[in-house]
Amino acid sequence: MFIGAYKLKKLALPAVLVATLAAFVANLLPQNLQDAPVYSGMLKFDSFAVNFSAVLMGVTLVILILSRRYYRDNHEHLGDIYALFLFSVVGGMIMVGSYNLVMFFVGLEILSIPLYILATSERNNLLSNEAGLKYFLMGSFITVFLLLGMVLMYGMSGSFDFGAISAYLSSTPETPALVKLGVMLIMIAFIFKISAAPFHFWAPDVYQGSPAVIMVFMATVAKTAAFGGFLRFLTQAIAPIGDSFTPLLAVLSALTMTIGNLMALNQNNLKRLLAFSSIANAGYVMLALVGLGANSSSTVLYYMLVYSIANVIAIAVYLTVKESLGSGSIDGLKGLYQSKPLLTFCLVLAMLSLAGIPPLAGFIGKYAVFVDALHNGYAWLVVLAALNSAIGIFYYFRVMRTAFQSAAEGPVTVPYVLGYSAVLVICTLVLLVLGIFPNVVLNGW
Amino acid sequence: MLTTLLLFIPILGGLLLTLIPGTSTTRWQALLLSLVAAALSVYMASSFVPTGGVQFEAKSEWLPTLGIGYHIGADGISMVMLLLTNLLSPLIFLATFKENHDHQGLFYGLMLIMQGAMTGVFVAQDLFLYYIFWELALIPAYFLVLLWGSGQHRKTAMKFFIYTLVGSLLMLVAIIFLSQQWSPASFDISNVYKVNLSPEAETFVLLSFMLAYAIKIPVFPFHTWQPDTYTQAPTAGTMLLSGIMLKMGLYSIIRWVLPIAPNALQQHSQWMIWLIVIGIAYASVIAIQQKDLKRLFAYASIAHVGLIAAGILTVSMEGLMGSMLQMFAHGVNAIGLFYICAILMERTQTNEIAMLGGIRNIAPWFATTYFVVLLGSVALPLTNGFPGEFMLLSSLFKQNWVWSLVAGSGVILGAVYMFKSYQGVMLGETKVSTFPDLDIWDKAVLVPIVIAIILMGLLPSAITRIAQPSIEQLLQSL
Repeated sequence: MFIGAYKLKKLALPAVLVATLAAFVANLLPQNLQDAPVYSGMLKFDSFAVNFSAVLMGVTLVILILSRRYYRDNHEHLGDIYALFLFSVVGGMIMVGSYNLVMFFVGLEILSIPLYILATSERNNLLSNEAGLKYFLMGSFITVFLLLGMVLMYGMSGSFDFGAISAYLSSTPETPALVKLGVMLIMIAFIFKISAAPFHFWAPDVYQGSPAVIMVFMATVAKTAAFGGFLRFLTQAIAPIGDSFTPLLAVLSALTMTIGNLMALNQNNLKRLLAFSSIANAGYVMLALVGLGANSSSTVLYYMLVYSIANVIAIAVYLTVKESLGSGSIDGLKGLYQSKPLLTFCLVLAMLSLAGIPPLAGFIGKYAVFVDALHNGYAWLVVLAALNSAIGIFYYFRVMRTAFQSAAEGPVTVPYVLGYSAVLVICTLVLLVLGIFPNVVLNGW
Repeated sequence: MLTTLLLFIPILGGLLLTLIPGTSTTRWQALLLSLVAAALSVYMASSFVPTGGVQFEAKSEWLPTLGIGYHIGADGISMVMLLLTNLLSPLIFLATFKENHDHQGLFYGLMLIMQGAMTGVFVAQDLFLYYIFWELALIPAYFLVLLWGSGQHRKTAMKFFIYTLVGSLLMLVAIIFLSQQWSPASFDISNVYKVNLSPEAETFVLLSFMLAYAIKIPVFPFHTWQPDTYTQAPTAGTMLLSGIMLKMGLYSIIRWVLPIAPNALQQHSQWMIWLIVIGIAYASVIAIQQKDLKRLFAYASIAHVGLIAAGILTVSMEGLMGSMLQMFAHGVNAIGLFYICAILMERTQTNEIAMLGGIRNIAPWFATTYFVVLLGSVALPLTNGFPGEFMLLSSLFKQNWVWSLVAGSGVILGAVYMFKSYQGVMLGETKVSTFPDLDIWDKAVLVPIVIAIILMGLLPSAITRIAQPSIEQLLQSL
């Protein structure tokens, strides 16, 4: 019902913003919440889907505000860019709302295809073109795995419907090998989308090459949608056999966070650093999947929301600085504190939150995933994750520290940019509120 | 309510100060806030009834689904620490008044936040809340070293942060583990104390808590971050770290480790105390060889707090009472000693002992105050160091006389290096051309310290009276 709001594809930003906002509100209306599948059993707007959609749209909203300033010189294709953003987020919402494998696939594609295009939206930038091509080739290749997995599931259970698959699995005492293979193949697609090891190699190049607003969209909205979609698949379709994949997920999670953190240590480009940080964070969120339980969905949602906001803040600061200095490296932040203490304050909060230092929201998120994993008896994984958080300090703090160094060429002047500052204010407030009152999202439903 | 005020006046005030750009009045605003907190803590201490129970309690729900509550309050042990934190903080603020720091708003704001966070550690009656304050105190400390340190302070700040954070994270794992013993999970002190653990689980909890504290205090062999950090931090940072922050670790052993893991502690305390007393002797030997005065005091601090930690681990009345006294005394003395370093640095631009000498002849005020602080830290009778150190050594002696011998040799060596440094700096031929005596600001810091050193030496009962019932109750409950 709320997808209808997107038919208004006006060219101007206000219309797009209003549409997103309207959809955001419509999404939260009580009538929207229904436990029975709709559209011939294709989608199911239960509280899970509604909450995930709210986060997807909320984050998209602030990224849209960012992109207005970012694409200020691009008048010709502005409408297309906004439309692609919206298509993509609709895809994400279909994913988290899907109750059928076919719909799941459609959602994933609607999410991904606009992203392939958006990644190349800086047509004069070679890196941007490379990023788009790389993402497209890898992404479409991975789609084949997903399709094959779906076919295998269909072949064995006779249905694409989540409910039917679940019923089939609980009635079969011994899980056929083909079903397991099918789940594995679907899992490969998921692992690719969240850029977890061993399918993470695309992320750094694509993130670095893509325009900053697209990069942050990929790292936040697309990832949240992928997590939401897979979580739904795990809990509603293959819940009866979900446990047999936990050890595999645990190993992948350990690998992912270790690789992400270690690789991030030596990065000089902020976008590339955030790419590795997003790999590491995917590893942490996988802890919640390892410890799958009643709280998992709210934990994942909370973690992804907090992580997304911190990322948006980091990118907004980066864009503000880049606009006046034109440098994409971390060293470009030098002297920021001297000219703009408040901007630095936002950056520090974001980095502390990403590093998981109390009392910021990122800490509560980490704490929640740790507890989930510990519930399932994965103490070794939690200890490893704790050590990984310590490694994370090194690079998050390096970013923070650089902002306090004085610039070599004397004090720099970085003017505030309205579009970015508005986003910064909103996001910083949300981050602080979420840190002090995590109950708003965590276990709130 | 009072405790909440005591907690949030510095934290919120500090946050505000960090956000607004500093002016010439910033330091006065910070001092005022800090004094308000000090007055509040004195009022609380004077209306505190030493019964052993928790007073000034505040309890409300925070994150009920996770079992986390906002629960604060102070028993006798906390009360002593509250006094220490909030009475020393204004002195530390005063000690910075002559220095000119960049970004005053941020500097004083961070110091206030640190004061509030350390207060929080001492009043938290909820394990999760405690952990949040424990970490919150670390962030300002990191920035103080990073932004206003000297020498290789960037590297040092990182080493300090990572070192302490690794310890804290393992403690976090143990905290989560403890909370999960209840269904639904609970972090409240009353529940945490009642947890029944298997011997293996208890050992795990003991070791992960103790690692965090051993790093924070620091005791041998986890002390390697400390000399660099103390030497390179700005004076105020060194004072906050050595005067108050390391007591967070000592206090936490009493507050959490003793009640939660008494049996495991009994099993493991032997080798822990051995390690610590060896560390005392080791740090003292290194201190003798130091050429830099600030570094010498840093190593001396390792020896002193090692003795406190060893006394606590004996889990005896004498050891615990001695530790309370000595924690307070060490805080006062450490601030005095590091302020003396700051004075020397300001007037001679060096802390090298060999470059100084004969200052006594030209600066009598300075010589006298330095000497009193020195006597306090070598634990001469009638100074504040004596009663505590005596009780600590005696508690060690009662359990194993070899311990007291090794630790006692550290104390004797302490007198050696302290007097040797005094001799090098103050006596002999005058090597510095000019050395103005203490001015009004210096006196404002050092005179209260000297008074405190002598008063506490004469009347240690002022502190023991507050702490004793709580410690008795704690020992009975084990």
